[in-house]
Amino acid sequence: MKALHEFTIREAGQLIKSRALSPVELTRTFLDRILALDHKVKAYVTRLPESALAEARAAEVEVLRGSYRGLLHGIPLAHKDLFDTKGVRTTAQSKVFEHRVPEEDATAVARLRQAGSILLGKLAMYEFAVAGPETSLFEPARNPWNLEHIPGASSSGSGAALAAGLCMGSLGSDTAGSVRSPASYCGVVGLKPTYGRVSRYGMVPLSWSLDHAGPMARTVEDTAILLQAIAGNDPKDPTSSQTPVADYGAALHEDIRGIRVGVPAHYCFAEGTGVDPETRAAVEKAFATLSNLGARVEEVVVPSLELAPVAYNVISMSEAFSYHQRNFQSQPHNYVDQFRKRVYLGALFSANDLVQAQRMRRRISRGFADVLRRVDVVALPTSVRPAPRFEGYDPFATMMGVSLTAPFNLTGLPAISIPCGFSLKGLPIGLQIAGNTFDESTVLRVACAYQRATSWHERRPPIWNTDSLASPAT
Amino acid sequence: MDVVLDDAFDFLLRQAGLSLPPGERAELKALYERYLPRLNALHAVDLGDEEVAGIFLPQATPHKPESP
Repeated sequence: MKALHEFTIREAGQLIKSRALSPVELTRTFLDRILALDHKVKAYVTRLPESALAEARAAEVEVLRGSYRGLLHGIPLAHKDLFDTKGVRTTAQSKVFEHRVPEEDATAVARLRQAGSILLGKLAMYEFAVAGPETSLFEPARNPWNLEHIPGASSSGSGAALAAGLCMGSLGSDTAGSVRSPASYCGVVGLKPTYGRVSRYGMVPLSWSLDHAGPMARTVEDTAILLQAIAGNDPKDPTSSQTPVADYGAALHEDIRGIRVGVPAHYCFAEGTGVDPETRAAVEKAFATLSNLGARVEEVVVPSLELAPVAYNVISMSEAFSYHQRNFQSQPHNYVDQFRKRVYLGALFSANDLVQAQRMRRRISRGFADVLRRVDVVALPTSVRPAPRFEGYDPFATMMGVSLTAPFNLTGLPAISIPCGFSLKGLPIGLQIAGNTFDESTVLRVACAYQRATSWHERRPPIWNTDSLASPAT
Repeated sequence: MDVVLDDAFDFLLRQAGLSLPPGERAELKALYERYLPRLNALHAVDLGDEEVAGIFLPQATPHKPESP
């Protein structure tokens, strides 16, 4: 039998259901790993060992009594520290919220609790989900594949914790790629659902019209299980949709023969985009794999897509400035410099800039709608290159560059990142697959087919094995 | 690189209600000037009769009021 932390959510859930695995034993395994490894990875900003074990014991009692709730019952999870957790400090990794203790759970957190999951703790992020790894409150999380490299942004702790085997699943938030980028950099799976599919209630906002909550896990199947639990209408979120929730497991294992995959090569591989050769080679190999599985891969063109990053920046920073304006005036020193500078830009954009950005957003949305009438999904790299090093990392250069993820925040379309290769230096590379509004099922189906045909998601970083590691003095 | 006149930049800061120390003001001005070419590219596109997207609403179904 493999080590407990090796199990997927699906595997562990089935063992718990059959009473062959104790939620307490499973939770203890992860708490021990956090103790042994997290002083290096720094994924956790808050650890909850006592309450996690209490929740695990309660789950065990319920299961033994025959009250099994489903595949997440007794499964240890951890969430980005901008999801409100009742009675547990939620900081958005900023001194501004250093002592903020919510009185209720975010809707997504509450739904995962209702499904019986265990909360191991809260995870690191970029301050208020923007800027760079330097924050005003905690040390940055590190990439388990190489601790000198960033784990991606802004759900950095979620990506790092999953890659290091410090939790089985996580909630992240995604305003321009903050679920997909850490998934790509850390070699795990991250899904940004359709805007309106998962409630944003109880999530510290960055930009209301671009923010999405999304699940992260080590496999596509586990990601689908998490999505199933959190998706659905929430009257507390004014943008929550009443569209019925699909059964995401139903078509997950179907083949993809005849599926049409569109590649916006004019954007993602354009001269000046900066996609590095290793990333391009890995992603093109992934296209070939999809083709071998029976998909029809073709190039598509989305007009004005190259202007998505600037439209994104104008909208997101304008909204972010509006949210932070009062605190900027009363406690500017409590923000990290990088955050303040970047969001101050939002105050300098004119109303004319914002309206033009919103009109561009409409044009790009219409462009994708046209393309997605001809193809079932769109595929492209998640990031232009593997994870950069902390040393010399310039978050403003990232802001000035191309974003391959932000177009799907502007349009609200569902998009997933899955591992599709490794660089020569051993850093993961991500493939992004996006689909039609509320068609997460097809996105997951294509991603799952790719994952069944490849083994990138089964690779583990050297830090995964704790045998040779001594626990820090406690 | 585009250059913004000091007076014009100070007007923008005042309009935003920002009062920054000189060093921070200079850094923000440099960042804004670095970003201007992208803004210019955004405005250079003729969007014809394209409307604003506003907030993306996947389904404009209003929430039903709670039953009394």
